[in-house]
Amino acid sequence: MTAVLSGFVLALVAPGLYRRARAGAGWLLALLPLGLAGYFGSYTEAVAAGETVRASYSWAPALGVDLSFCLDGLSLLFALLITGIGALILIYAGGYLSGHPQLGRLYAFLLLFMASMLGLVLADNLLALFVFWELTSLSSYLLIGFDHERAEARAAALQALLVTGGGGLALLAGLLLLGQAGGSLELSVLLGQPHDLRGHPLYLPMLLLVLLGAFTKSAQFPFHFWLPGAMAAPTPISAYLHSATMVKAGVYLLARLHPLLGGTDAWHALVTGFGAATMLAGGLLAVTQTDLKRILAYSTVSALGTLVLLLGIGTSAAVTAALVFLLAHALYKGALFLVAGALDHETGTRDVRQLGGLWRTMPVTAAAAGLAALSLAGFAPFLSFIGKELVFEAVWAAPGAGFILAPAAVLAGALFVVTAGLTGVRPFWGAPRATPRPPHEAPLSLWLGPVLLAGSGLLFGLWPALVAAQLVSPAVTAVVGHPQHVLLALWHGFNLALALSGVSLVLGLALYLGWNAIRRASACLEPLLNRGPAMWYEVALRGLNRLAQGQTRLLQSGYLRYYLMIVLVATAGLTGATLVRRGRLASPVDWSGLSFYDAGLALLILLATAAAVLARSRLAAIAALGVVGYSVALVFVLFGAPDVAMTQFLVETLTVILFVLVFYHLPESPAVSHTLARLRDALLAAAVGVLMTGLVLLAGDVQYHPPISAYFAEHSLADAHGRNLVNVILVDFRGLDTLGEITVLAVAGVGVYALLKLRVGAQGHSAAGSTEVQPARTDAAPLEPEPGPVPAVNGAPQDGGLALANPAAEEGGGR
Amino acid sequence: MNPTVELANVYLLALPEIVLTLSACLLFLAGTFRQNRHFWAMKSLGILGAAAFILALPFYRQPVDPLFALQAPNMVQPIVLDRLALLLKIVALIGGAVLVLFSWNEVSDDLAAEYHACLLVIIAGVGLSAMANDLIILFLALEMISIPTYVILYLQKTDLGAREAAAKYFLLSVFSTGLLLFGFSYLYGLCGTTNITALLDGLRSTDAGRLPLIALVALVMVVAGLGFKITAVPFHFYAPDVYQGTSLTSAALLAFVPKVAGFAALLRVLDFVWPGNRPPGVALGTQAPILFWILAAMTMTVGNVLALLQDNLKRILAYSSVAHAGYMLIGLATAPELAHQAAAVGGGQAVVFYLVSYGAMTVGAFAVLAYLSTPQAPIETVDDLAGVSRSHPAVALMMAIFLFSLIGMPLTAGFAGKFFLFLGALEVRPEQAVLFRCLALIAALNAAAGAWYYLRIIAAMYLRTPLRAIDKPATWPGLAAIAVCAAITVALGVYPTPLLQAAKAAVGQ
Amino acid sequence: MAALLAILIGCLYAAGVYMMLRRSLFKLILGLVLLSHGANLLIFTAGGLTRAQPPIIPAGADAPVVPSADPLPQALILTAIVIGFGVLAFALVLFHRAYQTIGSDDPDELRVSDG
Repeated sequence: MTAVLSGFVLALVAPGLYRRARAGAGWLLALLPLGLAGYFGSYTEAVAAGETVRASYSWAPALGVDLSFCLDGLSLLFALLITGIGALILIYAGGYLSGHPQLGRLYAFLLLFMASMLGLVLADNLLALFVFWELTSLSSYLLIGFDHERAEARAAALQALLVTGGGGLALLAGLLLLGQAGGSLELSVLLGQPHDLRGHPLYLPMLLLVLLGAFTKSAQFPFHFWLPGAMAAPTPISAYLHSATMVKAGVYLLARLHPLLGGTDAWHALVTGFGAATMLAGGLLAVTQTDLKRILAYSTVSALGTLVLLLGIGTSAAVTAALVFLLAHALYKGALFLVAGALDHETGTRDVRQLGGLWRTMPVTAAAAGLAALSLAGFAPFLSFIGKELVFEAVWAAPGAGFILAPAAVLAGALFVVTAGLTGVRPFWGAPRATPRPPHEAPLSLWLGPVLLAGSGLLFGLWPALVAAQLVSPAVTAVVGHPQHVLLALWHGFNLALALSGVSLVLGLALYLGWNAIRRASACLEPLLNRGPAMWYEVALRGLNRLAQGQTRLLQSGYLRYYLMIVLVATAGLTGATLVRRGRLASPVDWSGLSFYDAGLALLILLATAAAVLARSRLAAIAALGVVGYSVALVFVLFGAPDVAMTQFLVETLTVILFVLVFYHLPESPAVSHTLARLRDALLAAAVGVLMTGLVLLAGDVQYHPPISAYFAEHSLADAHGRNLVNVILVDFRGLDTLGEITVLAVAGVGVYALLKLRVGAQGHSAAGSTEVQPARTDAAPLEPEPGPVPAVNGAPQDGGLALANPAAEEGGGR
Repeated sequence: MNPTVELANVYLLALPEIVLTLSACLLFLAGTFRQNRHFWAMKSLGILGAAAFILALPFYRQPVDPLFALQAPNMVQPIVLDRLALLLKIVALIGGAVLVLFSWNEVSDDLAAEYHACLLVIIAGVGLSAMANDLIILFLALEMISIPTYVILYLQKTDLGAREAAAKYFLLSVFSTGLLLFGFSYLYGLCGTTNITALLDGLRSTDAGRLPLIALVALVMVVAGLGFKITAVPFHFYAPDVYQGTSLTSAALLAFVPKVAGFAALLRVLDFVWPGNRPPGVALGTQAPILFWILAAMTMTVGNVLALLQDNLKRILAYSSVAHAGYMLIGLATAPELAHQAAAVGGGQAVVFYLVSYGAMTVGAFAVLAYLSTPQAPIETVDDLAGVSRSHPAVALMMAIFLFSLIGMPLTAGFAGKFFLFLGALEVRPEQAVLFRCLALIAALNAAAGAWYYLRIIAAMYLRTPLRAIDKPATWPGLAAIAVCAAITVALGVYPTPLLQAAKAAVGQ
Repeated sequence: MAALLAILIGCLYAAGVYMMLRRSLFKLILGLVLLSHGANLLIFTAGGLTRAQPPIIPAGADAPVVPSADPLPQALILTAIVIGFGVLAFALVLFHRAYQTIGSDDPDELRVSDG
């Protein structure tokens, strides 16, 4: 817990520290990961003894969601790799980018990443795991885009983020399903009491989602394309994130969930299949490249494929092979990347065709590169030799598919040899070539990393016992699910694995010699390669863009009318759908009780409405509007609501006056709508009208259906002690309304006032301003008598009138 | 039962709102005599403080429990002070204080009194709408929010864009109010009462599966009317245009306040609040999980997809506001099912939690933009934020917190909120599991798409070199507003339990 | 009469909607007024139409004379009318100001659309 947090904290202060310490910052900062490595190292004994260390922090106890961490064999292996290599990378970065103005930021991002990665491998809670997973994607995004002036780097950063981040979301869904099926989000609980998730009805979706997450992160075919792009990052980043640690997160996840999800036919088929495809595709693509970093990137893809393949096989031999191979790969691939960076730094190019004979000028780097290359090629006595033997053994023994997988593994091994030759041998041997910069030996900070990494690969190879019991065994135990004791030895005797190893070496050497021919051949395949997954990514991105654009144009036109229209159509549509679903479109129409007056009144309203709509001149329209209002008030009179009618009369009068005052002196505007537009609007309006009529008829049907109204009426009467029901309601139940109404009207008044005031302030035309004060004044005056006829709402209009009057008075006074 | 006591109770309950409203009226009147933005901002902070003080008084909160216990008074009480109301009132007051701080230096001296008075009325409206147990009161409370909002929209800026914003908001708002009123009148027509408790009891007593058709129509209308306030698709159209046109303070106000009131109203009217001894409802809201399902899916998707292409920060935040409304609608869709299966986190509870979280992060984001803007050089587009991490490291960090929270990054409020909502969708029991898992999937995809446009802003702040210098003198009220929002955002992310429990008590699951 | 009123309300709504969709601020507000009339009538009918008696309990009785008009919708309409008027006043000034700004009656001039 503290370990993880310390990284985040240090990330925050790193830029400040860099400003102070400058050149020494890298060394200083490296102390943290070194300390952490020591800290984790101190647990080795305990973990090897089968213990699991945990720490927990309660986040949402009601849900049983805790932020908990646990350290078992698998976590420990990863944690040591992350912190150990992390320390070297921090030192290396200081030398590689020395003097770069943004170096402080780089440190911050690197530490951020390191902390996230630690969190990822230590997390016990599936959600916490996901969180750290996304944080690594994010910090990877920041790191790839570090060189943000270059559009290429930005695009690559984005691509990496979209692919891994998108996969992460699939992972989230998968993990949540997993948590649901297993009844807990804690890994330790899930692993401890294995509900048999493999038989769960949701097993397949769960597996697919988790695999999607793991495959995107670990750059499995067909998602491998982001990794070479990510090489736009500065080399230390590529070495750390895109080779040694982050891309192994997917492998970690597969290993972690293997006891829960592994061992089924689907697991075997999918994981092994994609792993094998990636292994071959990565290897083949690697040997067609000429850029050192791209070669290494594709070879990393191939190695990741191998790891996934082994986990797909899932036997304890395969798991052992995977973990040993993982360790070895982290060591030599990290070293090679750093060498590539040093070469780039000292010579100014990463094109293998331009490099040669550098051992004379860069002996230490050459030695480190040589060791790492031998290791990559799988020569004895390196750790990777042991790993390779184990791989061949495990693959050959894979149930059911060994005879297909073994040749594939051999071919991949051969391609590794080619890669090793290209990256570790070719630049240093042979005739010296002209490079953009005169080469010289790299400084200590640049060769320390490669030497230590490559050296430990040799060391562990010579004394495999160093890692076998303490590191690999507990890790294998964690993955397989029951205790395992791994014995590693350099010499396995003459067996099939050794033979396969020999075959792949010879084949690899042959291929290396014929490298130029291979490259020429691959050039013919160029068009095919261009149609790879990277293109589909482009297409998808463009499609999304276009979708967004289209939607924007279609929906967000900026025209008020269209917004209104859509709202109307949506509401009417929803309502209509409800009606249709219930199958109640028509109900018997009740024409009873229709008197002559009613009919006349209705006709009057209809005619006036029509006049208001059709009128050419504004005044006529206003007059017609007034008629509509008064007639509506008459309807209220007819049906026992004199209070309402009085209010309506008053308000209507005011409305007409206001309209006339505001619009009288404005010029008439020409009709601008097309006939077609009018027709469309009329249709829409008619539809709304018909719908409303239908709804009202419907409402008439079901009125007072539940008995509640009687109960309520009785209750309110008993409690209120009032006789005029309107009064009772207004005074009792709507006591607050009065205050609300006052306020609302007051604010409306202020609004009117503010509008007028603003204009005066903005334009300073006091003459124009004074004509505008008129409406406000007129609002105020006639409103005042209203309280009389409408005792019930007396508070509201009175104060409203006051509020409207006041601004007008102030306005007048202010001038 | 003594009716006078009850009546006194009613006024007592609304005391903070009454204080706010009356003070606002005083501010309107006195505004002419003193034109100083510091003075009026101080005053309104004081008034909010007074209202908060009343809230804190023991005698004020005392009625909470008796009102729970007594079923009958609820039937006639136009307002109730249950835990939902109390929580939302606290949120409204804190939000109001933040908005005052935020707009401290954003309003001109001569309009400060009016601006702050309008703000106080709005806050009173939110409090009232949280308490409303009567359709008429609710309608009024919502108007108390809307009308001052129109005024504020107009007060703050006077260019063409602002006018467009004010006009559009006004017209569409009036229209939506009409729809709402329509829905209310149908509800009334159906049950013969405007009291929400009585109304919902009436609906419960009808055959649960076959609510009268008219109730469904009313439901649609209420949702459409309130959909405008919460910016649910297709009632969201105004949001981007209005946010862009108006000032940053008004945009923040629009993003936060109507959502709180709208969701509070939805929760109450559609029977998502089950306090005390009332059983989980079968009334309106439960009839329409599918309606909310569709609304949620549409709202999230439209909001996020449209935000992808935007370059204007206010538009981005507007679409983000739409998208987040979509996430919250998930809670309404799942609430009925989750209530029946007694899930760990209910739908309504998650909505309340998310409302608070969303308020903090979105107001905070707007406050940062306002803090960095000057009238001469406003922060309009993503490019304007380029390199802010270097000129204003602390503010940039807090902006990053808000954006991470909007994305849903862990240890921020946004993550906790999204987590509770999505978890709810995943937990719906088997019969409808597939449907709601799909919703969770849509939500996850949306969150991913959403991350992209927020990250663009973060990337601009941290990865790019400044295009122009931002030299705004530091002002403490603005910084304080940002800091409060950041603190809430982080606190809710790190330790969500207290609010989660308060939300649970509020909706009574 | 309910049926007649239903048709009336439908027509008022149709006319209001049609006017609101026109390209003229004046007509827009006119439409708003027509809509609010329709809405008021709607609330009125939703409460049930009863001819004559205002809802008053005579002295000595415990309940209003049956049949009497429903008091609640009346209260609701009163609120709606009063607020509607406030809104209308605001709308008129608002659109008048808009008119002055853009120099035309066409709301389409008020447009800042997505690019």
